[in-house]
Amino acid sequence: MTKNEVKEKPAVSHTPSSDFAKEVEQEYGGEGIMKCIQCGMCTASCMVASMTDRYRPRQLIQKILLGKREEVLTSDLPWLCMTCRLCEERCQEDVNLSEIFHAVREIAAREGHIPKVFQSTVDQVLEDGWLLKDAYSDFIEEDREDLGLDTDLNWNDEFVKKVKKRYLSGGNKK
Amino acid sequence: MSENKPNSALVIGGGVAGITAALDIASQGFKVYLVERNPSIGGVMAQIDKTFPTLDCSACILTPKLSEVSRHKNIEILTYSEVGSVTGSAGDFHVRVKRKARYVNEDVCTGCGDCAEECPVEVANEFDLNIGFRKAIYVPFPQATPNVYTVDKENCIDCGRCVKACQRNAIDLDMKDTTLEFHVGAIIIATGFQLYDITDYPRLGYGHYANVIHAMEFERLINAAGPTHGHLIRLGDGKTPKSIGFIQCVGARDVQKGVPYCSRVCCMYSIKNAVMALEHNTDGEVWVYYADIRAFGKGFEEFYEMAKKRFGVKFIRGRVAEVMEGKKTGNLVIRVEDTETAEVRLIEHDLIVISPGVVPPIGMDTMAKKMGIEQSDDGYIQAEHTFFGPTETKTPGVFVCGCAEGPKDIPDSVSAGSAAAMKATIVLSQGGT
Amino acid sequence: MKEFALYTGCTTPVRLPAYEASVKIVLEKLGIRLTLMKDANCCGAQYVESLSHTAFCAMSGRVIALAESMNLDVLAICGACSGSLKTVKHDLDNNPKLCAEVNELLAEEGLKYTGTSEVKHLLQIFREDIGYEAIKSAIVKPYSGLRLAAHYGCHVTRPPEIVKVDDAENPTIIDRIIELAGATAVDYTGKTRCCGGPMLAMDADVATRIGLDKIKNIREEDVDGIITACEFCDIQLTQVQFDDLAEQGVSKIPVIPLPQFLGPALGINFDKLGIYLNKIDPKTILQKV
Repeated sequence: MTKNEVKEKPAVSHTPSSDFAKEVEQEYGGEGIMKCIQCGMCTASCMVASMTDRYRPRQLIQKILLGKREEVLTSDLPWLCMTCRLCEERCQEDVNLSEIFHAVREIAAREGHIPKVFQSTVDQVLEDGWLLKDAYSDFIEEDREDLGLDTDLNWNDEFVKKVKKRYLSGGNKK
Repeated sequence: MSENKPNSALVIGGGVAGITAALDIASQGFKVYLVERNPSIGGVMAQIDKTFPTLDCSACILTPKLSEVSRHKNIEILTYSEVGSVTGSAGDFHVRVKRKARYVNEDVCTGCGDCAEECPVEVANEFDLNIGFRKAIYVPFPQATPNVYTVDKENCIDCGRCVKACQRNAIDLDMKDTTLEFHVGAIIIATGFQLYDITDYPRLGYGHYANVIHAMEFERLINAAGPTHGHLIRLGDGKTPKSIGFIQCVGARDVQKGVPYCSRVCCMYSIKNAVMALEHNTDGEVWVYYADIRAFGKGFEEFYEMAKKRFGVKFIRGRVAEVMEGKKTGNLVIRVEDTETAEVRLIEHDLIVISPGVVPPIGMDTMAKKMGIEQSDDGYIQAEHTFFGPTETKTPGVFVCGCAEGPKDIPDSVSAGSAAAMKATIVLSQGGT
Repeated sequence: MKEFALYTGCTTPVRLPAYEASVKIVLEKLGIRLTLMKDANCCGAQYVESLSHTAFCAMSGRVIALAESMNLDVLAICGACSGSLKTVKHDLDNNPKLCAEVNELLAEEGLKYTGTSEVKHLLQIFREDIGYEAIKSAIVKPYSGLRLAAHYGCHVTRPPEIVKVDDAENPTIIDRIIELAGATAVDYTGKTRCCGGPMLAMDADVATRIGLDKIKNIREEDVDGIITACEFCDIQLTQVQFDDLAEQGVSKIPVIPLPQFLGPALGINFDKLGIYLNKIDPKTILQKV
């Protein structure tokens, strides 16, 4: 094989830093991240990891521990956790991955990185007060009547608007 | 209290640490009472097949010590006995020992076994981890010391056939428990350990799936004196397993189960078991699933390398999350992430061996509280000083050695036994503290 | 008679009204009175939860505060709601600053969260407030010759220290009730795994395959039906069987919520339980009563 045939792989360089992990540690739910020993129990338990190659919870924690802030916050990986908590149940170091990913999501959201489906669902909830207003068709209303249930679902849509205004309308949220 | 302080010591526990302590004290001329709650001394080391890292036959190196103890003129062995109460202080303890009735006269029984042949009752053999059977009148293992039979009264049907069979009239089914009282100047606690109860991990299938066993059951299966005469077979169908998986850190290094500490010995005993599995079946495939390999002692790293290079044991860095069973085959599939490649793998095995962690033995809490000995947070006996008092307890005159103080392998237990013996004889030779 | 404020959550009233109806009828029969919570809002699970923890606490906090104003404990019948309300309650009870902030918002409506209302999931009501003995004596038409698999749901049972519903690694409440009703509760591989529901938003393909994996494991045990305790799980496990990826040429396994299963055994009429609305006809189950 001559020198010309060897393919040049782009050099990947990253300077490890615990700044991002420390940042996550300060968030609500992110406190346990430093306890991770990267044993892989979480990924072995994760149903999402078993059905798709792109998501590995252990690897995501590793990226946070190594300080790959930009990569983690702009990717959709933290949003792929189903919050089923099987990993949390089994983690022998008591690392609460699901909560850590929630903390990461909150940081990502503050910087404007929110997957479309999350944004649209949140917009809907904070507008209607509940999720399925558009899906509440006449047929379903009839079904409810037949079953002897209230047809007026009586959801409050005022409170959520206050919540939106205070916490989720851009700028510095907390 | 007598003018003459007692020149004897009490050793509680007849495992390898207790035996070492007893021999070292007795060889200096002091008398030793060696109390053991099982019918024979020997402890866990008598159950193990091979020891790491040398692959010595465990019973072969232990039994000469058992002999030495039984022949020693200064050691009084009190098996099938438990310490009832202890009062007093360093230099003069008043000890009460309850001697359970074994329904066989120790001074008369020669261990010939005629009685057991006649006994019609068969029960699960605890020495073999309930895999094999023993009779209601039994010795736990062939080299039991003292070599006398014991009647398991709970399962004995009182048929009396053993009594008739005994040519020396050694059996007395009406025997009663007795109490022995004596004074000692120093006490050594050498009560050993037990394995973590892994039924606490339903996801690993132990107790549900026939072909999931734990490390001690594995030891008995590969032991030539064991229930299968050393044939490593699956308990589900008796087949020889070709592919075996070892699961590490179960009941150890687990914050959520209350055992956050490392059990120190499981990495090594599993590598040893993995090597033995391949010795028993050279065509086999053995996989060890771990988070870390702790091969810290003398010869340990070399042993680990040998396991990998010479024997071909495969090591995967990843903790096993689940064990699933294939109903038709009885085979097991484990789900693990190979953390070195980030690949989630489902690997099939014929046999799964779980390596449980080490925890304090049954009755440790009761004994420690009764004797007023301080325990550490994880239930072991608290050493007086981590660096300068590893065999001393917070109670003067009471010492600790072996796994009663924390997980240890055999060399460390023996060292601790000798160390505790030394501390004890300092007390004895000075008639006090 | 014990009384609870029933919080249905967003999904049940629209997607599984039969679940709501059967909860009401079965619980009333077993001595629990339910008052439907009015003027409630979404608990904020999953979506708001991911964007702002405080906003999430405000939303779920308001639901619990509403129950407090009714002087009742909350009954949540959806797993996600149950998980959310219990987690938020835990957070508000242990973080006075957070609690004060949420209360600031609630005060505008005259509501206050003080922590006096408990949050319970349906399974807890069965085990703690009704009790197995009472269920047993209320059975009038037991099932027979029926094999059923229980699916608990992730948010119902985890994290166990907070939700305190059942032993998360080895849950038994549904299985016990199945047995009390005369059927056989069957264990299967991956019993405590997720149904895949929460994944639908981000990756429907993965979600479906997770659900189908569960169906496959259950099918291996040769069961007549699956009993659920969360409408989200129920809808997911039903829906995946209609997907293209599902195993073809096999009959679909009926999925029904626990109260709908228990109803007939208690002598309740099928129609009142909304059985006719079930997407996969549960006749294989109901025949055996």
